[in-house]
Amino acid sequence: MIYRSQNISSSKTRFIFIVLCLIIAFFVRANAQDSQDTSNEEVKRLQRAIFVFNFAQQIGWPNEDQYESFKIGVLGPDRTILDLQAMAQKRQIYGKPVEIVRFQFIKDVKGIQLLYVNNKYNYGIHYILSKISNKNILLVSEDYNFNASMINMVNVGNSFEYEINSERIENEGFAMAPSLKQYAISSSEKWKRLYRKTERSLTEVQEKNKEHQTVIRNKEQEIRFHKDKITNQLEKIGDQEEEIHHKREEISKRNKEIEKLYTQSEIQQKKYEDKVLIERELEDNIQEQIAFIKKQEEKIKIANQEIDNRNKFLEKQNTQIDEQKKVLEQQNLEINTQKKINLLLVALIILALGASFIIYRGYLTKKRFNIELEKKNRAIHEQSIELEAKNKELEQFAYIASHDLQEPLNTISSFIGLIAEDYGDSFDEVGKESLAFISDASKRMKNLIDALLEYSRLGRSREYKNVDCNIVLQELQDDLKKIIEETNANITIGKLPVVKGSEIELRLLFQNLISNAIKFRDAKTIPKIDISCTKRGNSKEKVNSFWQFSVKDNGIGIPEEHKERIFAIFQRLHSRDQYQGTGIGLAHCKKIVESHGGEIWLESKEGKGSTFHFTIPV
Amino acid sequence: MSMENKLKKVLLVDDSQSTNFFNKMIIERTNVSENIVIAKNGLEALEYLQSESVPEVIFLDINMPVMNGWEFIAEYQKLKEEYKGSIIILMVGAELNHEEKKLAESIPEIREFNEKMLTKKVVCDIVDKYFSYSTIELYSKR
Repeated sequence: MIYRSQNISSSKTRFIFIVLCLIIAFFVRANAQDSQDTSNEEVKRLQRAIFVFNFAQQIGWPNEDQYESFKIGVLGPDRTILDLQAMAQKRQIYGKPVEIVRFQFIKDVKGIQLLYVNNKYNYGIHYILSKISNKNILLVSEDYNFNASMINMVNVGNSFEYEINSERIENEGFAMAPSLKQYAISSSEKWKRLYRKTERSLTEVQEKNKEHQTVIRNKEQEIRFHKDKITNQLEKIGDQEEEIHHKREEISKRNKEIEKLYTQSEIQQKKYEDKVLIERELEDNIQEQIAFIKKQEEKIKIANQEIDNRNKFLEKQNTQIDEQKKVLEQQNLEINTQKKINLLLVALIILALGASFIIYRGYLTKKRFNIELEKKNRAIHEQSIELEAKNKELEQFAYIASHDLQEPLNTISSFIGLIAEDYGDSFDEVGKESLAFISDASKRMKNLIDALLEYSRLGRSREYKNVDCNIVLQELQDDLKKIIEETNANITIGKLPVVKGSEIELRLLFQNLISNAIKFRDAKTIPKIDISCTKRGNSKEKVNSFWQFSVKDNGIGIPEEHKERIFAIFQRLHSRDQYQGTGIGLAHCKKIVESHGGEIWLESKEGKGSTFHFTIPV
Repeated sequence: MSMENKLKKVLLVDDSQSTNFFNKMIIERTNVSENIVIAKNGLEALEYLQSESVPEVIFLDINMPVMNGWEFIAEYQKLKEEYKGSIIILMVGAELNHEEKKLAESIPEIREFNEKMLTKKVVCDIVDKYFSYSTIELYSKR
């Protein structure tokens, strides 16, 4: 009867249990979606308490009516005691108030209906079982090995599964609700299934992981791509990369562990507890991983956004750079033209410098030449002054000498005349002849002195006038009429110019030349004289042009060696007996021509006549 | 040469003894003057002019010591009119230079230039020119 009522109540509780489980599962899943470690833990703690209470409802104690309250014991410093106490406030078990008791040691355990123990506090399960046997205590353990306990709770994800050792439960004299058995992981098969399920989820997670990895790789590539562009971003991303790398290493470590687990599971399929533990840890890790990846993704997203921003900024900058490039190109063009202009300028400056240098050098040499020339000119000027002074002195000397000689000479010739007149007849022949020689000599001396006086006076006249040479020669022919007629001389005169000079001196010049031409001839020869004139030198420039007069005769000619000598004063080529004259005529000519600024010279062949040339500047 | 034309006095002014000797002899031979007086320089001639009777002709040399011919003429021009009745013949040793010629031409008392050494012809010509009857007539009219 008791059992029946128990059954009824158990069917009721079964329903509640299932609903609760479902709610919990839903709640847990929903929570798992945006899993927060702390909230998950709280849910799990609540869940654990519910699980424990539900287990108590699913078991029938043989002597349950004897208890006033339902006592639950907790082994070790487990915080679950708080959750259970909180639950005890709200729920009753079999209509009885629930008491929660803590035990530090296994040997102390007594007077309770249910004992909860977690494997993490390292209580030996067999020792517990030996101590509580036959005391009507239900052992609810967590995370112990398969089939080691009575009811063993296992952490699966954010929820719990459980397995029951029905043999042990029945041996202790407990009645068991069938629903308990139904939902428990009763066999190794079921265990295995569970394991596979987790495996699947694991592979799923792994795939996801892989996806994430590829995503990460893509992101990495992206990051790498952006790395080239932005150095700042690079550093950040580098840090992230490192983190990712670190995480990946962890993942690969985990993977290895999983692989290891695989092999282990194949060989030691019985060590499910360990595996579940690892699994759970793994799942946690994976969850963490996922969260981290999500975080990472968000970070990457932010980074991408930033990169996008950067890209935009970069594009902007690129456009700016392009614009600036254009400006630069233009500027380059300008600079190039400027460069060319500068080069040209430099070349021009160099040219100008070279030219000015050459000009300067020319100027310097010119200056030097000028200075030298000036020096020479000064020297020449001084010399000419000196010469002039000496010339004057000489002329003065000649004048004074001839002038003062005249007087005594006159006295001598006068007394000779007196003696010849008064006593000539009384002289013998020697005396008479001597007197004649003295008289002759004094006359000649008088002539010489007169000629010398005249010579010294020549060139003193500086008042030059225009002299028509044609008229001069016409008059001269009249003056020389007597001698021309005596000798039958034939004088031909060409057209002569008007020159600037002293008429008296020019007349004397022509007179001397014509007289000489007539005088110096063979006695048989009839003199023939040609007088001509040509203009020489540059006709356009008055300075350098001159008239060249020529007086040509058919006389005795002058030997080559005497060509210079005949122009010297008192020089004679012949004896006085042969040709008369003082020997000063050509000296006069030379002095006249030179004082007019010209030259005189002659061409002659002995016996075939001579030509006297002289020049007068225009 | 007629006797009516004979001059009273001729003065020879020259420092040269030979010249004075020669010229005196020439004048004596031409027999145109009763007296021939000799002065050795200008100063002597001036003193003579103021102490004795004035000669009709003075033959004056230029280059002389104490007082030369030019200086003599300058002093002569300052004399009283009674001492200035002579014809002065300038005796030239050599040709005169340009300045001397100009100076001589500017002096009215100088009537002639002549060579230093006189000849009979020159003396006769002078007397004929200045002291023949017709000449005197012409001269006095002027």
